Amino acid sequence: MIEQLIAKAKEKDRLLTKHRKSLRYKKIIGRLVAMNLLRTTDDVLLNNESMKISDMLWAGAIEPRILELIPAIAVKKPSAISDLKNAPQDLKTVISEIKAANPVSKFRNVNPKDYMQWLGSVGQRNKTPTRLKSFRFKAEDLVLLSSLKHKGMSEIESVRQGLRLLVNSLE
Amino acid sequence: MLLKIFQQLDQEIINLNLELQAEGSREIPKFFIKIVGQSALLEANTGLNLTSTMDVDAYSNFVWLAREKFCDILKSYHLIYDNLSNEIWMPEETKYVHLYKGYVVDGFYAESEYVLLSKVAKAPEKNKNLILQYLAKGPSPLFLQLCAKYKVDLKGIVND
Repeated sequence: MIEQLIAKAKEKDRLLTKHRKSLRYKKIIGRLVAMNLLRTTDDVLLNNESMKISDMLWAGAIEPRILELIPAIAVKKPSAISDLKNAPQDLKTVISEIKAANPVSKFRNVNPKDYMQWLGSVGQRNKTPTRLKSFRFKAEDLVLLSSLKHKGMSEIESVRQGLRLLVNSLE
Repeated sequence: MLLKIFQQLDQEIINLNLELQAEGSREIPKFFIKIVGQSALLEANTGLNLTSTMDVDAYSNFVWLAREKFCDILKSYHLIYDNLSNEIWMPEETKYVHLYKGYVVDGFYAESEYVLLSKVAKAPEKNKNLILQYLAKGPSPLFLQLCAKYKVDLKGIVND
């Protein structure tokens, strides 16, 4: 029983090993290692070349940890991907959601929590993407802010006071 | 690399404790750090082809100031301490390798079989290729025993 399992695992691993040794895989891993996003025991080709999205997704099927990084790279360092405009729809959706500060969709089985954690590690460290006010607030929030503005209170002051009131009410 | 990190942390905490002592403040008490997850596998020299993101998972009983120091040191290696590490599931019988015994810091890493079991039990999809590779190299009897005990579906992973 276990022998059969091992034999089948060997068969599948043979193909994975072949892929891991390929130039295509080594280049992707090498780039991500050079970006300080991955570490590996494999021999890699450290490089600064931009990556093709199809190669990244292909490498992600061999090493799923790559898939965790793709949304963050696409948002924070799009120049590292040579053909981002050809990104598949699921990635485009995730990019839009991240920019709108509302990441809810999984990306190739990776939860938002798991891909969002790398946002601070890519590009300008610890900086999350800037968002338009219309993304940060819902329409009704903007109406409320606008009404307060008419009463002589600036938007930022309204938010500050609101936060203080919230904190006080929770204490 | 872990050994270097533990040594550096121990030295920095010793220095910090001297300062705290001079100020009449409470010193940082002795604590342990038990590395789990992919970082433990990388340390264990398993012979597997391993790739990891830059997060470090570790159980610890350190106070916040020691945790800050640990995070700073990790940062110098481009590594990030996962603040939710204590939520990671490891089997109750997990054994740890005692890598470093310092004045303040006791550093360990989890043995490979327990880490692999944790991975296959809690995130089989993400770790499928890693487990295939491990099985192909010949799994240890301990790993197979653990899989049986925790009802891990190895067949499902291999046949997927």
